[in-house]
Amino acid sequence: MIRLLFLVLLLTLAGPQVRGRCAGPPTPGVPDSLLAHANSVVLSHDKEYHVTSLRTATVRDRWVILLLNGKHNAENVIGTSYDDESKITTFEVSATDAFGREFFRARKADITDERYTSEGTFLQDRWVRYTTVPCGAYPCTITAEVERKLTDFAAMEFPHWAPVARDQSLVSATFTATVPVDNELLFDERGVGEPEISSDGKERRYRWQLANLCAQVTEPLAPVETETLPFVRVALADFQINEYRGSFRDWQSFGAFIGRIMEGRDALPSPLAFEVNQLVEGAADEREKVDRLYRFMQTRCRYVGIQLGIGGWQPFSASYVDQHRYGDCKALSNYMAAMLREVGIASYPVLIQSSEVPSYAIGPEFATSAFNHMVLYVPSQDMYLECTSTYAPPGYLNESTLDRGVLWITPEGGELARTPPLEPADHGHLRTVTQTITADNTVDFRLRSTHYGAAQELFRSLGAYIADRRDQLEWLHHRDFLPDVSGSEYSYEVSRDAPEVSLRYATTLNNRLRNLGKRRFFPLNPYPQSWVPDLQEERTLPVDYHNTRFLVDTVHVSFPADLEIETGLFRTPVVLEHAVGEYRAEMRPEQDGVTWIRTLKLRPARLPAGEYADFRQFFVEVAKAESVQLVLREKRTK
Amino acid sequence: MLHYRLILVYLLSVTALAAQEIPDITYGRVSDEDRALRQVPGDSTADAYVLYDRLSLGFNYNEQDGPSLAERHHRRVKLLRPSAFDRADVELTFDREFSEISDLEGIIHLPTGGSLPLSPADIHQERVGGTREVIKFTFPRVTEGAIIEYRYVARRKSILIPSTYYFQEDIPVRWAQYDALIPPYYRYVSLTTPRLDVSQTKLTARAWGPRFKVGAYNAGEQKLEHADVLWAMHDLPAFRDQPYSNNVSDYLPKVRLQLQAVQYPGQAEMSIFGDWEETVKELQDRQDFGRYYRNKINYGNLWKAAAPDIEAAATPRAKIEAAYAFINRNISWDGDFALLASESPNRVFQNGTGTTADLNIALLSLLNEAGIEAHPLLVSLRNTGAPIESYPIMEQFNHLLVYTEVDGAPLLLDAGSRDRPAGLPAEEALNHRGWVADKNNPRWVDLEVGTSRQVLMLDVDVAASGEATIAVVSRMQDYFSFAGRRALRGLNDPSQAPLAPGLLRMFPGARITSYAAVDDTDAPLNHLSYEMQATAPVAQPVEDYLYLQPVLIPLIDGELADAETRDLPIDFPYPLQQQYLAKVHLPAGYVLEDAPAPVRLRTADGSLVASYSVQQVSPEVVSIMYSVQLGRTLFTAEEYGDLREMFRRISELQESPLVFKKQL
Repeated sequence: MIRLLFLVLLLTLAGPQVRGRCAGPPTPGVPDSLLAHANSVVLSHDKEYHVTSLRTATVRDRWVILLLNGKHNAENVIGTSYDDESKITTFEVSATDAFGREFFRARKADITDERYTSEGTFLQDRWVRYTTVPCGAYPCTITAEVERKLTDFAAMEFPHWAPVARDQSLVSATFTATVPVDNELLFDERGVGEPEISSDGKERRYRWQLANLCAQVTEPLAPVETETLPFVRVALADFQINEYRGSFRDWQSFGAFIGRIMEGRDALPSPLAFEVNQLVEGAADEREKVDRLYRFMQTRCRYVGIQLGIGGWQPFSASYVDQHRYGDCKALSNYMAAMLREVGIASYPVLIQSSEVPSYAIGPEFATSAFNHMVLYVPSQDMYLECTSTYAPPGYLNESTLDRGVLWITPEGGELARTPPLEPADHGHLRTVTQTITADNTVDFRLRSTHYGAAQELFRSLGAYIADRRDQLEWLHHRDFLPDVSGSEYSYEVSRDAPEVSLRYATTLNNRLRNLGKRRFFPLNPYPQSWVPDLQEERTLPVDYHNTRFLVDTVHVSFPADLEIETGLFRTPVVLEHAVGEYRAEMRPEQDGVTWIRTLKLRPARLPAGEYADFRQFFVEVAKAESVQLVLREKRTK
Repeated sequence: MLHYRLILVYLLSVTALAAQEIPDITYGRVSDEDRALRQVPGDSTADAYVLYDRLSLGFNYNEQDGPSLAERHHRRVKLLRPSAFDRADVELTFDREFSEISDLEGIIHLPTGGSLPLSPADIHQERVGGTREVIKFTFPRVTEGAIIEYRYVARRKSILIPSTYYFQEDIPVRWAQYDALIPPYYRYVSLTTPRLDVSQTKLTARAWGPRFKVGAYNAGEQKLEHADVLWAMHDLPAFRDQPYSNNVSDYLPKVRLQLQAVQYPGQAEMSIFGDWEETVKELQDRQDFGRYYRNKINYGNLWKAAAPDIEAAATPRAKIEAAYAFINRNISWDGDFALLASESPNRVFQNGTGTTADLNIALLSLLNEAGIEAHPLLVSLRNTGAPIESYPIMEQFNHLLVYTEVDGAPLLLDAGSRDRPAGLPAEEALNHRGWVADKNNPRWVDLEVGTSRQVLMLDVDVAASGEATIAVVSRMQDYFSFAGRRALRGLNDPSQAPLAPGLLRMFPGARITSYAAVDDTDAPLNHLSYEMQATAPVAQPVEDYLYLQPVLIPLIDGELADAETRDLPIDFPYPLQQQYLAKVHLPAGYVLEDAPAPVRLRTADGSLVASYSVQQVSPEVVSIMYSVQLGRTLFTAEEYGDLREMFRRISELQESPLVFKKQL
């Protein structure tokens, strides 16, 4: 994955709230209004960004933070990252207790330097320096000053100023950016306002400030902080890295820069070129050629996260990948593009952020590198290829990369685009369970299910990463997909060509039916949708619900002839509707039992804070409707 | 020769000899059969197969640094499926202060023929932090059927404790071998699995320093007969973990050596952790152990701050409590367990934070100064290995707490949380036995703690809709009290309040309306009285019936009842007793029609007892009494069948509804 340009390791310096709630008991030194709901208070935070040339800059942060209790977000850990192109020139941390007595000043022995390896990465040239302030009692005031000198690629890590996070209030903060007059500072802000701008003829100075912001409370299912807290992010109109010049004036320019550093990396070794051409011989159409080459790459190469030196940005060459048969997302995308080019198919590398919710929405108004991943786009087929997966069907994008802004790296430069939207109909399951209650009160349980789209990703990875049948069964059982591990008819089929996984299982359950005198209690639905959002009496932030699913469950229940349903049978369908979903369940009497059919469609929605209670109630009602229980009793003699 | 025998005696006494052909494996050469192999014999689903793994222990000597260890590793793994390809990404970590890794070579053998060695450019050495380093490499051209092979030498400056070697892994192993060539000057104790397939010992002459003058004209390097041992196992299945296990690594066959004594020719024998008595003396002389809590220069400032509290206490017990409370109030635990202190008690106090060893050595210093006899108590944390009492192997310990006595009864102190009372060690420390580092009387003691108790009294008022208002009063003791206090201190939301998660799991629509600890400043820390109010849809009205779930907060979970068979013992951390007493007020007109019959379940030895009964108290009031008592913490795998059946029945009981019918 491409390293995040805005990576601010362990520097818990996120941004303040647009609106907050103020109240609270008096505390010496801090206005009462800033103590309510806060676990910490940013007393001051001053960030200075000084651009000294097209390829060099200095970033200095000075901040004083008051920790009020132990619930702060590890804000006593002060740290920053660095690498060969970024040097830490100042790292000073001290702390005082409630009486203003200094009890800590970071000495050499208190400071740790460790290699930083991001998730999914095997090799990476990245370090982190940090110290942990031993705040044994609260309040505890930490003063820190960190300065880094940046060159080349590190200088592209433009500072993002977000001086206050949730559960944190702020007394004052400033951000000053100084740029040579022959360059231009580009910026994007939320909730801060326009900067003061001044110039001495050589440099232009931009200054933003914030003061007296109350704490915004962390709430479940809230939008990302960049949507509700103020921030300023900046970029430069012109920059230079080694021999490459680039610009962030617009997406086209930034994309062109990325295209340039990828140039000349796609030459295929002759034997591979020959093999590739042979491979597509006889293909009916271009789509089949793409499919064949994608499969070829999947079996030939594997993902290994190696980001060394310029490799953090520049992919390994196609010949390197072919020689070693591995690469990271950039290297494998470049390799796949080279093979496609060999057979006359154009493709574009695509910069993307792989995450549940991107930290910043990608829009046309501000070009930046808020990406952490690369895939490939084939325009002739309108098809994305995830080149790091050895098991995805051709054209399948994970849920973590769908429905978001991306940057195509076209021959003409960068072009903003959007990955396909998430539609409930494409992501879900069709599941049928047959449960036969026997005369000896056991239950013959038979399951057939097909999971598709995003709902199959978990199951597909199960096949890819867990080979042992017993391990698979235990994995499925622990996640409540199977009722036990001792079944006799387990099968698991992964579709090669479609995002579908099918599961079959049969077992006998002896603890599913509860006997009580002449009655049998039977929970009809073995897979209830029972998730209910946390209860919140007060809510201030909007609800950001992301789930996209269409779930169809059918349950057949049959029982011996000497039993009859006492209660549990219902004839009017249960129908529930809300902005985030539609629920319908019905029950049909059968000759020897009943059939229960339920559909649940879930879709993303952004709701005002005031609608949280209704939103929660929908799931409460769903959970209630899902807990269908049949009460059977011995037939009464007439 | 005496020393040979000693070595041999120790080595042979723990293993049984067996004849077995030792495979002759040459690095870089694999057979056609292994290249062609596509599945593990007897395990068609395994995704990787250790064809060969060997650790050879050797010794080096130079005049300047003395003896050192050289551990030669050689490993060959067949990759059968893509799910195993991550095994081709290899990381070898070491601490450069004590060791180094060299002579690394790697090669991949392709299933279709041919082999590709790793180039030096493929091998990356990184500093991880402090003095730790890692060597990383990944193999090129990994494909199904490929064999990765690598070897390296790990050199260690200390010869005290060679690396522990595990024969079994999470994937099947065809051949695993540990061999050692031990000079006669060194006497090692060996703790080796008793069921080795191969155990061979012989004497092999080999030149080895140091040089000793053993006669007028005899001063030079001489060939010495080394103890030459080889232990091996073959055709091992993949190892599998199970829930409620403890010390899982103990069930992996392994070799663990520790140096016991050194005797060079013409010199007296030097004992190295020879026995527990010598071990305790060594530890007490260490700055980061005994000296930190016995020399006042190391704890004077701490004592000055704590003395008013401690000296104000009237009884020894009160002094202990005061010292324990002072440490917990003023020094926070940093989350790390440790055996040796990282800094002096003065410095730890100044920092306000430290490891378990820092906190408890600071506590020892206070008790020592206050005239309370107290000693370090060393334990192996749960899941890091069962205690080994027969030999003084220090490597087994990873946590230090404090042992003292009050009125002749042991009292275990484990600082680290102001919510945990004296006498209640961290749950992770409850690994059955611990070693008291008392220099006059080092000894092993039981770490068993008393039964933790919880009583739940519920008053449930059910409406005709099935919705109920619930008032819970709970008395918690020991670990239940600790968990309750900790939850109250850290919670951000009512759903995290004590008892709330259990109620919400049963009834996702439940609402916690209030919760609070009952204000009782005189209550000891190991007791907590707690009240909670909630609403929940506890009953389902259908036609004339009301089906009510009477156990609103389950006492056990179902995890132990899941597996059909079990290979590992079941090990609960502490004994417990839980009582659930509910009074249910029904809506007018409903009468109890059906309820489970009263039942009392009991294992043969009475170590697990459960009882359940429902009683109609008055026309519209029903009472439920349900209790679970676990009197023993350790159950063998053979006992699992009975235990599972009990858990299943208890689980059924706590989920059984009551049936009420409306009187017309």
